[in-house]
Amino acid sequence: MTAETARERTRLAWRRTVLAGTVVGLLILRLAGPGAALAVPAWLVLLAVAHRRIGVLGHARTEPTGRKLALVALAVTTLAVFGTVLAVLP
Amino acid sequence: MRFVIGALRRWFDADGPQAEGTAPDYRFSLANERTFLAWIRTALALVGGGLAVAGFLPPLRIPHLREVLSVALMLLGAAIAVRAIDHWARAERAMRLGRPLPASRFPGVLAVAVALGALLLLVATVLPVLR
Repeated sequence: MTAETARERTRLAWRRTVLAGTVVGLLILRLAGPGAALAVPAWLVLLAVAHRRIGVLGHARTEPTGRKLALVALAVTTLAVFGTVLAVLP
Repeated sequence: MRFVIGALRRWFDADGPQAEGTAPDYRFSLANERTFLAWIRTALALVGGGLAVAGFLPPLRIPHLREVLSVALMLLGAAIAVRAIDHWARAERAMRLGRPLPASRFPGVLAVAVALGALLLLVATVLPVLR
């Protein structure tokens, strides 16, 4: 696999991940109504990191990604915990 | 608390300027990143499934089964997200140090858990109908 193909595939993987995160965000919006505002920061973190990575992967640059990926994992964990609270609340 | 801080530091600095070893081929790092993203999408799918169960499934015959299923799916999603970043960091470290990639039982455990959960759910929904 060439470096360019690897970058393209990774960019597309980020796009798919944002789509999956957006579906979860819409489900939370449907269930929580205005309370979904509490989950917006987690979705924004996913969006911001993906935007940044897609931008960097468009050029032949590299950057440390540990912090960004950890933030994404924490954002998804937050969405899961928020969803759990929604499911348990009467 | 120290465990949490240690884990955060390991994740944050896995490929940073203070990381041990030398940076692997760029393509290997990208492959590791795509594997991480695939796990994150798996986690999001489980969270979405849990939300859909909580919001759209009518109450089941067994009391609270719907809530238990929904919470189980979402907690599994959270666990997968945490494991995704931990595995990414360990794989990145192994590549930097030229060691074999870390072995993991997690995919196997997850497959068995999902299969058992599906079987239990099947029994729980079919048994009351047969009675």
